[in-house]
Amino acid sequence: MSAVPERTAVGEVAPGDALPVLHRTATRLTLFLFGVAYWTSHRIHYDVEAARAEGFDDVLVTANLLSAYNVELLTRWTGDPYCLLTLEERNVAPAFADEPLTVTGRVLEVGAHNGARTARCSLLITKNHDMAVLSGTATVLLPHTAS
Amino acid sequence: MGANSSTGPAVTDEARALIGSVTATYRSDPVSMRQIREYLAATGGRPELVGVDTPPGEPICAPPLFFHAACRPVVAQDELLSDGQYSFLGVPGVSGRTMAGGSKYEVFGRVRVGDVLTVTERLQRITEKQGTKGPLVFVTTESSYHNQAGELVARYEQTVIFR
Repeated sequence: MSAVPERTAVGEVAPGDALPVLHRTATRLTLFLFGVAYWTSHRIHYDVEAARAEGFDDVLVTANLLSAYNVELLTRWTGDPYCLLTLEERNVAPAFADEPLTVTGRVLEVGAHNGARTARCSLLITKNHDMAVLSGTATVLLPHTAS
Repeated sequence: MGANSSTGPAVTDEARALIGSVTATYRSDPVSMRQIREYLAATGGRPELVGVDTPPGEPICAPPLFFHAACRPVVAQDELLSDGQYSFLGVPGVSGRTMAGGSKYEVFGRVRVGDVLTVTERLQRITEKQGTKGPLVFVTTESSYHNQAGELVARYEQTVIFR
């Protein structure tokens, strides 16, 4: 996530709208950095032998890093780094280091929260074109200009 | 998570008795610019841009999910299990190898540089299932995060799968 997300004009928002797709690849270097920032020492995120001993092909991308990718998708779309109200996720399959990930979202409904417009979106992170890694939903505040 | 993390999952009656109760509390150190820069660098952002859009005199805010990273306890190496996990992940009395099952974040307010967060974790439920590769135990906890003013800034529900 950028400290200053790209300002994208959301414009009109309607159910069915697709959010601009995000592509991310968490390398082993990424996982090291996230392990420090998030302070996780779980070996399956950096020790390939430990990951394989647990039955995985490689070190696993940290679930909370996938959450950050979802937040990046949403904040780039709205242009507001603080638009997130809720984020609910289910980890479907592991993502491994160096696997290209595609982060997508779609508007489910438009609503209101404390007088502000909101959008509830479905979220899906996939690898290998269409293999689901994570599915979820999020609710975000929409900018005032989106009406 | 119990000390024996190399065998299959196990749940004790003691663990089941904790459902609905507070199982952990933690008070963070003051949130620093350094922590926020590290989080941004790790998530693909630009650490050098932290605070550049913040007007003088205004507090510098962290990304929405940073609250969770800020409240990860720092423990000594000899307190970690052989798989690197915290010995206190999940709930006492549930053991096994772990992986993430799902999560729910609710964001109510911003976390600012200098904030001290207090997290209170409650055990919501323990669910035992038979997976395709063996038994699984799903432990779900809900954590509330308050800042030093007592304001609820976030809630986080996490399900950890013990294998």
